[in-house]
Amino acid sequence: MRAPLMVKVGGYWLHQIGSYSDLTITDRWPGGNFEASWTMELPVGYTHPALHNDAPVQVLDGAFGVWTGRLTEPNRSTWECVAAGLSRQASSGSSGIAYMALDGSGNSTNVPDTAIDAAIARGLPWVRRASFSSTAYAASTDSLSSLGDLLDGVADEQGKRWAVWADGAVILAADPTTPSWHLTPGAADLGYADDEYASTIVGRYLRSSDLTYQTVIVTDADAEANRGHREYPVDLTPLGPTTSTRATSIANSILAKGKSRLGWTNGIEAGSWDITTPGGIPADLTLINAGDMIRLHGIWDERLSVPYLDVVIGERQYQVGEQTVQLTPVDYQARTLASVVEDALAKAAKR
Amino acid sequence: MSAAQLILGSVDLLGMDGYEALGDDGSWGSPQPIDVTLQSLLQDGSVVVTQGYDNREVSLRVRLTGSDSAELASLESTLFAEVGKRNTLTYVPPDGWGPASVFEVVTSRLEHTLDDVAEVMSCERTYGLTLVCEPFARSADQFTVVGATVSDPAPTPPPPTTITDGVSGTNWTVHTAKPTTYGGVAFSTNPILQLGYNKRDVKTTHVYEYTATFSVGQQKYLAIDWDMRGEYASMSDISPAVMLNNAANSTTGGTSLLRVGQMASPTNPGYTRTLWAIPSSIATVTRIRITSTMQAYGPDATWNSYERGIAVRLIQLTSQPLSSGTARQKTMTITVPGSAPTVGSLQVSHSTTALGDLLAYSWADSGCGYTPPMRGFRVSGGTLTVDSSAYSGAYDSLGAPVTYERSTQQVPMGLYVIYARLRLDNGASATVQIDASTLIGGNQLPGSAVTSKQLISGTIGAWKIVPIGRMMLPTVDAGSNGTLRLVVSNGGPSALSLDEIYLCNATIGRATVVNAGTLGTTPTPGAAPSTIWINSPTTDSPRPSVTAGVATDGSDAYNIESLVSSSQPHRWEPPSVSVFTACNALDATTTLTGYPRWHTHAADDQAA
Repeated sequence: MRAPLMVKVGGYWLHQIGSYSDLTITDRWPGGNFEASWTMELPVGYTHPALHNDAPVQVLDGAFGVWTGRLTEPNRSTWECVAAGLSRQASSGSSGIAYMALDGSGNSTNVPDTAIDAAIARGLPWVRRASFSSTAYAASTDSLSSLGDLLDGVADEQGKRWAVWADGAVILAADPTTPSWHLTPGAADLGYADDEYASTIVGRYLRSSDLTYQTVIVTDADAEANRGHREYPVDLTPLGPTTSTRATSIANSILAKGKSRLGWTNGIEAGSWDITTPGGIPADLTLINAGDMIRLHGIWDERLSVPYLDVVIGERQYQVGEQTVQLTPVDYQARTLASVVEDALAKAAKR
Repeated sequence: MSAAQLILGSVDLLGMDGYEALGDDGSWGSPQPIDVTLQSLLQDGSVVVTQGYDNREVSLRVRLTGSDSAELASLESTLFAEVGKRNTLTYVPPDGWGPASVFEVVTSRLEHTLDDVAEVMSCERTYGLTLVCEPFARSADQFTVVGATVSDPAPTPPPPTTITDGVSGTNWTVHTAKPTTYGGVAFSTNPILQLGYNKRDVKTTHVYEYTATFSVGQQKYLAIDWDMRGEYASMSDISPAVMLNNAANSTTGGTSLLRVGQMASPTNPGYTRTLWAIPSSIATVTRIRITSTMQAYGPDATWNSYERGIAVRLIQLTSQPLSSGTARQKTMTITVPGSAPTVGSLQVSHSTTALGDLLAYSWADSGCGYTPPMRGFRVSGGTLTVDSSAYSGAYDSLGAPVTYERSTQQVPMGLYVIYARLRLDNGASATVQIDASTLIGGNQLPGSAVTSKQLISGTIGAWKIVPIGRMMLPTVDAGSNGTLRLVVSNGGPSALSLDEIYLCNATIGRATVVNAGTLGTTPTPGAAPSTIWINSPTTDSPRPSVTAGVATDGSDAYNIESLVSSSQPHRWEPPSVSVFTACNALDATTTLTGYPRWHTHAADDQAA
């Protein structure tokens, strides 16, 4: 029987505070550790020095941290507890924005490294091991933006995604190109969705050479030939004055991150018997992460004409002790009411 | 012969006090298996895995008999006081031979059945008693098993005495159910591979005998380096069984030995070294009999592959328990009595030295020779400094990568949490990188490279056991033919020293790590502990706990969970569990205490 994952909250082992069940951890790509939830058996109104809003939460495999975040205020009637991953402290949420993009003096900044380091100095529990970007993302610092919005913009420009994992390190990385996991034929199927598909990016920007508004148009010719022409508008004017080279690069990065590929209508549920490493070792479900690539054998990839489909995992949800894991591809397009509402709220928050 | 007993708490339900349990429609219930059904792969049917067992429900009818209704009410009141709470139900069989079985009652309920005729005519009332109990019955008495960890005499036992190095066939004979030839082909005459078995899907028992007269002297253990050979070869048990004969029983019977430890042989790569305790009553041996039941399962387990069997490479008499590097790192087999998984308290203790950082890992052994420590498998690196205070006996400067190589046969498939005993030599933090790969014939297999990185921080100059990686191992399923290569390197910026790394398989085992090294090396009540107890969760206390102290009776014990970095509840499953401990004390003793558990009826503990 596999050793269970254990939880620490506020420096205490959770099992020392009270019995708990239904421990579920969710990771996302981008984002990293997203959410952990569980239910405790405690009296209504019970208090404990560790069980409060913003208490650090660790989910551990032995002594190895597999999920890190902060507790949201627990429901002291039902004792349903939810913790938010560390990356969410940089983004908008129902309780406001935890950290803004400021420099060490408290002024607005568009330099990611400066903004990250200053936020860490103000208490953001991250580690920056390598440079995220030392270049100002936008020319103007007149307005305030959240740290998350700044990092999102930089990631989009570079065709990458950013995340904060259990070690607290903020990373910027491209999608993997080789699979970490293999799914046996017949274990899952994916439906195609074209809701978000676009063959062409139309970007509007302010040209720095003459301060006139210009348009850049880039097209994925292969996608256009196979799936038709569809345009997607991108407003690049918040960057301030910039070059056509940079505007084109950003438009190309948006295509490279999957805009010109079809999305998926569903996720998959698979067991440890269905998923193996490339070397044929049955997977431990706790090791499968959002951001990993999984090869779905037995599904024909029309684009590459191969009998398998490689997808990058956009969300991994696992309830500890269960024999299956829920995996959602990166280009999943919301079909359930909950997903649609969540997408709408996220877009509204960015505005 | 004695009368049966059935006691709920303090009420004897078969006694003369007015209570009588009626056996006509009673039931002990059964442990309820928790099965998980998995979709099978492209086949009909499904894979069903029993993950554990849920509570059982015991039901009894109890008749109360009194002189009048007032006494009946009093009897009911006394019985109801035992209901609806944690309790025990103890059953002693009527013939007087079987020991008592104890059901741990989680909760219970009492239901009255109205029978006015019986009440008026016989002054009796009958009740239905339903008890929700833990899944398994237990024995009435606890067991205590002491692991083979202490050298005798400590700390410098006599050197081992080699009986045979396994190179010569002299003194070896073999008995097998199979003919000595098959299809005109003679079985192997190689003395290392003392014949074998050839038939697919059929279990055959083979006996290998080494006949020679030698004195045991002061040595306590018999050590044998052995290995299974041949494709798809497997054994029914996790090691051969060993029996010793002497002059008194040279022709009949013999003395069966108890396995007390098993790990990878430190001197014969690829072999498993198993340690058996020699009873003090045996002074002279005339024959060693090694018995194994083997079979071959697999698509290529062809009928004429006769060269399967046990290879014996070494037989030694020794007084040294199994250790890795130094006597700070011990591997032992803990015999778990009973027939069902139980909970227990694992105690690690030393009389004069504080334990420092402790890693205690338990696992279901397969006999492959797997143990967590890797110092013995280091093949290259930078500067290696011999240091008797290091857990492994030496440490590497991680200025250069350190490479370890180990047969994949000795690395059971699963998810590994990799720990290291490290020291930060300067600065505040460093990134440790592990590059794992699998090789055959010296060639790295395609798709086998896996990397894990972990940021390490700590106090300069302080050794600490920390997690440094987490990955599936071996990285490729290469059967017993592959080599696992691990390269540990330091990505900086701080300098690191590396004492030992530990591969802890989370799929088959559980690890507890207590970082008590910061509390000093002198046992001090309330501070540096020389005894640590790792307690499994129970129904009474459904949480694993770790306590520490100096007095072995626990009189100064305190909860040390704040220094516990890994708290995986250990699982004690009969007949035995392998345990590895690493701590600062030389020859620390390891003891498991718990109740033997059984399906429904306890057996003789001594015979278990």
